[in-house]
Amino acid sequence: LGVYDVHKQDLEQSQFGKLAARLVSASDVKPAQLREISTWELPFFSTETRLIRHQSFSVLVVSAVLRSLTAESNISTQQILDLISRAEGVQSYLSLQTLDAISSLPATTNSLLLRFLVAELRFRRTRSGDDELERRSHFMDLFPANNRHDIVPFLDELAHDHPILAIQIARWCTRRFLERLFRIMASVRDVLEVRLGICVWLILHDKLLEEDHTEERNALERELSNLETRSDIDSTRVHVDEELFREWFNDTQQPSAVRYVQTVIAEGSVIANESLIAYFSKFQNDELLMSTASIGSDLILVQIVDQTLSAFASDENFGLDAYLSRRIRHGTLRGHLLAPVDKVLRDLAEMSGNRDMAADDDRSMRAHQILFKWRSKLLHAIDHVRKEIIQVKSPQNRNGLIQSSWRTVTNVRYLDAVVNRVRQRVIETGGSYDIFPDVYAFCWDCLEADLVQLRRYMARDFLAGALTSLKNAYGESPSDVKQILWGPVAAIGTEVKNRVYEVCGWFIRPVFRRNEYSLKTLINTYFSTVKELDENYNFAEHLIMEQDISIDRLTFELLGDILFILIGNAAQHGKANGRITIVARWVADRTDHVELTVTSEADNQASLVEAVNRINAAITGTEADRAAVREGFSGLRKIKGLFSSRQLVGNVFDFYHESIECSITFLIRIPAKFMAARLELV
Amino acid sequence: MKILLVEDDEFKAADLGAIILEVYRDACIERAMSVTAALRWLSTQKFDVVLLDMSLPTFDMSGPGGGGSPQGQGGIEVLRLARRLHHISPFIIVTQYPDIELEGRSLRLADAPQILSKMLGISIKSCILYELDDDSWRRELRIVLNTRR
Repeated sequence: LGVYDVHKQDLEQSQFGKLAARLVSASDVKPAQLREISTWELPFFSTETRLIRHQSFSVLVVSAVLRSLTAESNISTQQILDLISRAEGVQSYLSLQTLDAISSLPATTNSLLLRFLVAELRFRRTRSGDDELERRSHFMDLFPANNRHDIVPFLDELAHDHPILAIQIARWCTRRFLERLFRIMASVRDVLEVRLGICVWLILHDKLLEEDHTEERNALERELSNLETRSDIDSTRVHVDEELFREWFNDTQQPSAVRYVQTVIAEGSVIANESLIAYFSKFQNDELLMSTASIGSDLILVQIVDQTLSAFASDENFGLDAYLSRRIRHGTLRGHLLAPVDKVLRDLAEMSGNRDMAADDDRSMRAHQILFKWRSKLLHAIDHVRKEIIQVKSPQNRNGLIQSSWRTVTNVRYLDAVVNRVRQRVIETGGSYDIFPDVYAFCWDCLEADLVQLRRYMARDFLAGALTSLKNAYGESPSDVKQILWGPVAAIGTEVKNRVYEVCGWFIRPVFRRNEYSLKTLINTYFSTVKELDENYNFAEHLIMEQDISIDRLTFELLGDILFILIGNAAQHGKANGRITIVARWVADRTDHVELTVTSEADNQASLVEAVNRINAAITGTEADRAAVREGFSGLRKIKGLFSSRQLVGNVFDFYHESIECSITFLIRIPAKFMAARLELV
Repeated sequence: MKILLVEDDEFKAADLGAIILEVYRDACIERAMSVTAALRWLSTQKFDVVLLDMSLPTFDMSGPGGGGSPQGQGGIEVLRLARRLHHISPFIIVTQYPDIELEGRSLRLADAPQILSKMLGISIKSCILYELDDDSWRRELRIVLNTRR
């Protein structure tokens, strides 16, 4: 065999080589064909010729062997497992008929593992939904129902005889894959725990990607730590399927990413004379992006970022627009906003004892008609929002508020930062740095301003319009009907307001990849967020902190929730034109705490007493309320719940009032690095 | 009459439940609020009718960590499993979408029962557009449920 001769030295070193040589010689594959394909492939690979040549040759040999198998072939399950595990991507060289033939071999039908592997190859070949379910079903067959704890021991056992295959399967067990193992997984927590176990296993076994696995493990640990806090909010938040997005990135941007890394290495650590912002300001159009030859690393990265951001927003499989279309625009938004209105209308109809409103209660009927007419207006406004506003801006959707563009003043600054950060990391790691996480985080950075616009539109334009027309409908109704209408109108007003705030909660960025955050930014962000949502907000804001404090992700999220509630309450119940003061300081004790006081003013002594009573009642309530966003601006019980579920030494959540100054102050003290404090406790 | 109601929205579920009980007073209604819950029910039991929503969370929202990834076409996943299990339960799809996506194709609701039944080899009786501001879905559902008598 000519091809075999070329690789003789490599192949003879392994059992695999001997087996492959024996089976190839018995098959009907002509060696010249193998040589031709092998040679044809080589120009596509760059410099690591020996390894890649060996790998590509292995794939070709394995595919030839697999094609030659028949029911009479003298080959064991273990040998087929060994073959497949040594040829990543072999499915590209196999027809579906061949895969079907392999799956019906006795060696396959007798092995649950091999059945799964063949189903996996088939799925990787077709990418169809049916084959995806098939491979998952075969994977689930490997384990008893509800026994997710067996997955890591299974990998351990498999690694004894087939270490490469075990690593391969562990890599396939992505979060998305695990999430859909319906016989094994029952909750998000199950998925996170299993993936965490697999990551820990991979760190020990998969040295090639150790850094990636370590980063993922850390992220999973953080996510598990604050699962309860985030769960009910995250399920409805804007969403981009990160795994599909990553697949897309690998398929379409990897060559550019490699070119980028190589260019950065070639350029060395020379600092550019000017920032990207200054550079771009010289150009009036995007022409420079059209040029792909002889350009520096920064522009290659900008090209990658530009295309990636576009896919992030608009890809029909994983993009933001696809999510908005499937989950929000179709039905969900309408259902969410109209449901409480319809409930009130139904109750009103039932009051007369007849859903169709017969004339036995004329006033109820007229009240129903007035509200039903208003409901039509609301429906029209909702349709406008979903068809015109919650859209990616394009020539077809000129009013869409999602621009998802880096070409804005703020976003160019983000771009400048990501360009510098990625370049630095590539240099530091000698070119092994994976740029995807930074590009992904950048996409969310660019979306931030759009999400603010969406929240602002919903909380101000939409809500104000809906409430004004409701008020008008009530005001214009005959006086005898007003009596009946008052209760339902008040109920609808409150419910619609709450629902709109909930919808605003959908448009909050769900992903935080970094682990260090600025407390000052957090406080200012929540001042802005509350201001956005409350059109009557009219307070002087005072933030007193000597120097910025760095907090970790868990502290960031806890304090975010707390500030949303406390600033929101202060804005809703505090003295109009008064001030809201936040004092933040570092407390250098055993676990380094951050201490915040949030002070607001009451109108007078009477309202101060009322507020103190209300706060006391809320804080001494027994049920911890988990849904701050849903409640609008309340949720002190939620804060209490957050603190009682995170019992660490030194945590404080308390409040006091000053009668003379007519002020109420909340005191919060939590570790600046909550994660570290918790681990220390463990 | 044993019925599986696959619906995560409480309001819509109550609406559908009321119609079911109107047609079958003695109906025994099981509820699934996520793709995972629906798949688990179908793996173990047969139903006289399955009412199926299309857009579902992966897990029940009340579970630890919430609903997981939202699945815009989660109902299709349920139908796929039904095909794999050669499930005899008839399905009625009640969705707020004007169309159903399958393998990159958009199917109009009017055409979907026939096409999906043929493609998946299972019994899909009807695809009904659920709308809050139009009661015609109620009539349609009553008719389809009544034909199951």
